[in-house]
Amino acid sequence: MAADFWASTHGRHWILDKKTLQESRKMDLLFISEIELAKLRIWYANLMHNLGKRLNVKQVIMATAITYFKRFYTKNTYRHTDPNLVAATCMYLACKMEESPHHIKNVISEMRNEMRNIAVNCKKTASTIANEQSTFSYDNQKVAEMEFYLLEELDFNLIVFHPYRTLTTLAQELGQKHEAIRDAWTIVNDSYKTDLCLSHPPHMIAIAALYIPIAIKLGEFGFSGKLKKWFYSLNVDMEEIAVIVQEILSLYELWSTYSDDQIPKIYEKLKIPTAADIEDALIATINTTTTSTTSIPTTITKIPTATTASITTIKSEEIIPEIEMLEEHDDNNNQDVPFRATVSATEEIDQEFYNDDKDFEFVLNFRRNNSIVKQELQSDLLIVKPYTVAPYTL
Amino acid sequence: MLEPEERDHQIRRKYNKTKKIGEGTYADVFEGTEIATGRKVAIKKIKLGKSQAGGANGIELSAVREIKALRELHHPNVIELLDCYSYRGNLNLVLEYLDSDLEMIIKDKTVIFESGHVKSWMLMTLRGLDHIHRNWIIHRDMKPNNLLVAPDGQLKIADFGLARDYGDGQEKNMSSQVVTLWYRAPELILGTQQYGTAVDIWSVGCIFAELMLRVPLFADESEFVVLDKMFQALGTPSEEDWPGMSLLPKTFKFKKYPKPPHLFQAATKAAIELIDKMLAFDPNKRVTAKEALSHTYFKAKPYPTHPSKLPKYSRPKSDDKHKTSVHYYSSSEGSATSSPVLAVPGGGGAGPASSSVEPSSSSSSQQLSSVRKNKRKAEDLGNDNHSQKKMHGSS
Repeated sequence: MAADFWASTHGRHWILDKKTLQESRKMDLLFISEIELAKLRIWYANLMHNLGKRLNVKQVIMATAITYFKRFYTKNTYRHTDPNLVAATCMYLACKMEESPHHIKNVISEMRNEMRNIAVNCKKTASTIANEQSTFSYDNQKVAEMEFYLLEELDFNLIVFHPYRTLTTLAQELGQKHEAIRDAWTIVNDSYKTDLCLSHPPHMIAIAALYIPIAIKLGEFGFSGKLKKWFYSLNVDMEEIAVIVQEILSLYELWSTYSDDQIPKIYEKLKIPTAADIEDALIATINTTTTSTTSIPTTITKIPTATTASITTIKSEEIIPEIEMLEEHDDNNNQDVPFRATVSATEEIDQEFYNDDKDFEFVLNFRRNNSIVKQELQSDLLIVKPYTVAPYTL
Repeated sequence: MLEPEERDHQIRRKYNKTKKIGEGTYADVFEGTEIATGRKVAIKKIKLGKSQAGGANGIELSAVREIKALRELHHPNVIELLDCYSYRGNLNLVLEYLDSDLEMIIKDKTVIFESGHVKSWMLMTLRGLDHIHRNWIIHRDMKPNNLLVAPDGQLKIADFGLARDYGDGQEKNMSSQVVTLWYRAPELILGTQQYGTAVDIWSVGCIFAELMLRVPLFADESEFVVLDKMFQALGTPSEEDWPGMSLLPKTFKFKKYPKPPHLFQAATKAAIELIDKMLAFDPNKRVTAKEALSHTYFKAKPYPTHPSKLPKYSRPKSDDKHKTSVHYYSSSEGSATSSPVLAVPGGGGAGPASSSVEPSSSSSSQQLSSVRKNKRKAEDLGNDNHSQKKMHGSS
């Protein structure tokens, strides 16, 4: 299985490094913060999940659709595209790809229903953007065109591997009914709210997802015995597992402060036209006499100035070298350096966000070499404060 | 990173489209050359689907399947998808150019097959198929017509318009209306919706037999006659031979035939053993491609002939416009018309043109092909309805 994964287009082309991902977000990050972008990710994963539910498709199809969506946005910006159109098209293509095709009209009408539903919920927040956002006015033609564009942006690589298959295999070894498997399944589903599927191979995500419930409920599962041995017999790179675990835990932390009401505001911020946009729109109106197609928002409240933009850029640049340093350090020093994974990236961007939650410090101590881990497992095992992880039952 | 339009242009400029060589419902096929190398290619231009109402309908399912499968597969015995690009609202797939197939060679009565030839073709087919299966893909349309032959003799599996991936253990409702009838496995005829790579092996077993007999093994127009022919040739399986047979959706009380003496008495023991294993009624007992490859048949003498020494299709001289089918289409699903035909001017092809074809054999083969075409047409219509039903099912 694994051998096939590394030979696949997913393994060869679609495991992206941090730098590439960071680069792809640069444009959007001029307008919104990392945290806000992460919230948008949750929102669109939820949206696609709901759309999938309406179409009555399998979990795997939803996961494929969400992966397409994320892959698309490594080459495009939220700002310059309509994520709703992309989301619907991804779902349409994923259904076809996974051999349970839905008619294009069907996908569109269910998307409209979903958007209507959102509009009803958003009325409370009474945002102008909520209305704009809540209509899905595209027809077959538009979605079909988008499908072409999407295919290209995906580089025609359609097969996506998911952690579910690994999890099923692990479940067979561990016993289907094992509670940890059930929890891991939920965690894998939730992992699609992060960008993990872009940066880590699916089997690692599966193992990390299994690691979390096992680590939290150490006593309950009797981790000291057979389970521990079994886990380490998997012989995987524990550092990578630690990074994934960290990412998932950050998601749950973020999720606890997330609410759908925040989205219209973020969306509004994201779509603020810049001076260049307005110029383009004006040129368009001059060139074509029909003004109906180009809509210039009447209220331009805030145009990001050079200063705010540059500050954000500096911030994001600050993060990259730090991560690199960490990796470099690891590579140079292959001995028993304890690996410390903190909430690094996100923590630094939005201090405010984490300030009230100082308890959220999740330190993972691993030895680089697995064999050493095996010997000193008892003392070196990660220390988790379970209450910080509680929201995963959400 | 390049903008997609720019990238498209770059890819498009790599190839030179020369002439149209075929047309189908969802794609046109052009002959072309790769400018840098002068290598011949086939460019399959996929049109944006249009529904009856005139609205756009997205990319044809078979095209998606083809792209999906071929992007993952890289093997000397599988057709290579060289590039993909879109241009003016059309999707273009650049494929290897291959101008003959195993069906043409089987039908060419001027060619005499030696057992080394058969072994070599089987070896290449199974190698390609093993690669496909290892990538969790079922081809679902294995037949001599889809086994293309390159000028250097390499056999390449083509036409992935029906192929699908499997193996996340959740597939329950796969269509049993797959694989051209003559090569369709018994479990498919009996309507199973849960099947695996074994359906491809059955087809390969049929092809193996066809290579020895020079006629299709189970050729008929009705599913049940085909099934009856299987039972006649191999003996009606008992519940013991094939546990679960009586539980399949379309099962009925079969006519009981005894197991006859073996069909291929002239073949070697190893060949007979392998063909029996491929044509096992119980899909669970059928060999896998990997197992078949390590079978003694391939190790015994005579050894498989080197691809470059295999007989090639010799195009009859008299037919200036010999009709051959284009393989860059999925012939059995998604197209309502019969297989598109292609006019290939004589002389320009591979191998020396043979002097004459016996009139009797050519007319009979023409008859045969017209029967096949009709059959295919009927099947296409049936399948098309089926797939449309599926598409409209939930609306």
